[in-house]
Amino acid sequence: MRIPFRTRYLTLQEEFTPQVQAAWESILAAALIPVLPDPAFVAKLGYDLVEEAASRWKARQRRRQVWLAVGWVGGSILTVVGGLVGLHFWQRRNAQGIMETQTAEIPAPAILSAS
Amino acid sequence: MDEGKERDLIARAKHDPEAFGMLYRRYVKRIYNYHYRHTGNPGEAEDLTSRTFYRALRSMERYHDRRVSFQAWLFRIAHNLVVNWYRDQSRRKTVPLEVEDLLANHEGPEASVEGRERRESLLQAIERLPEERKTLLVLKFTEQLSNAEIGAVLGKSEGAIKSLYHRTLISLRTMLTEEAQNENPV
Repeated sequence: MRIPFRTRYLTLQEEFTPQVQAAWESILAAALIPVLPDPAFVAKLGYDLVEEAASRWKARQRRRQVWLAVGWVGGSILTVVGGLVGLHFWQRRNAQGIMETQTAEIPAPAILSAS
Repeated sequence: MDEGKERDLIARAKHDPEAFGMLYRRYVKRIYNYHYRHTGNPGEAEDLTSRTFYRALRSMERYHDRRVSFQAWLFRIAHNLVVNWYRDQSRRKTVPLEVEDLLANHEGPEASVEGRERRESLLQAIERLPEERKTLLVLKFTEQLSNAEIGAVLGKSEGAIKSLYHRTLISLRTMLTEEAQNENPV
């Protein structure tokens, strides 16, 4: 016969009273005493980790500096190119404007105006 | 060390090697103990401890204390390595825990023979438990982690941990009772 989950749960609770559980906990706490590592191992690993961390952070800083330099140079180049392009268009527009003004100021030939 | 100081140290450890070294010194014994309880071998425990901290160093920048405490995060890394270790061990088919070593390291000659035998039986019973249950006992009794933190390490809810703990105690008791009955048949 299949036992409903709730019944099984209640059975477990009855099987393990809080007093029994507390007794087991004290036995387990007494048995599972911390095991200490060899101090030489702790010191060596600590030294290696700090060295590794320092070299990682130096490498990261170098990468950041390289990206900053790339950004700075790229930004400068873009600014100069952008400026030159802008100047070129400004000059072209200016030249066109002057030509249009000059064309408008030329008077029509006399023959054409007589006819 | 209080919580605020630890949080400050963790934040500094993301960019300061010395702060990472301080965190390492704070946790190395506990991580080693955790690995030793699973492997029962100092060499393996040292290897897994190094790997835990190197992995923590690599992932340190991604750690955010809003989700889980630092110790739970670190034990989760250790737990993942232990799970892999068990997988490798099952392929190699070796018996890991050296109970005699454990006892020799921590019990002086004054320990009674009966007490020693009882503890030995208990440690052997713990050794026979599935990896997850063994982890639960080590984190609870040796590392004093809360159920919520153990849940964060094992990827389970607090309620599931309570239930697992209860079942673990029952199976330990069953194992020891059966062992006693086999030794002294009526």
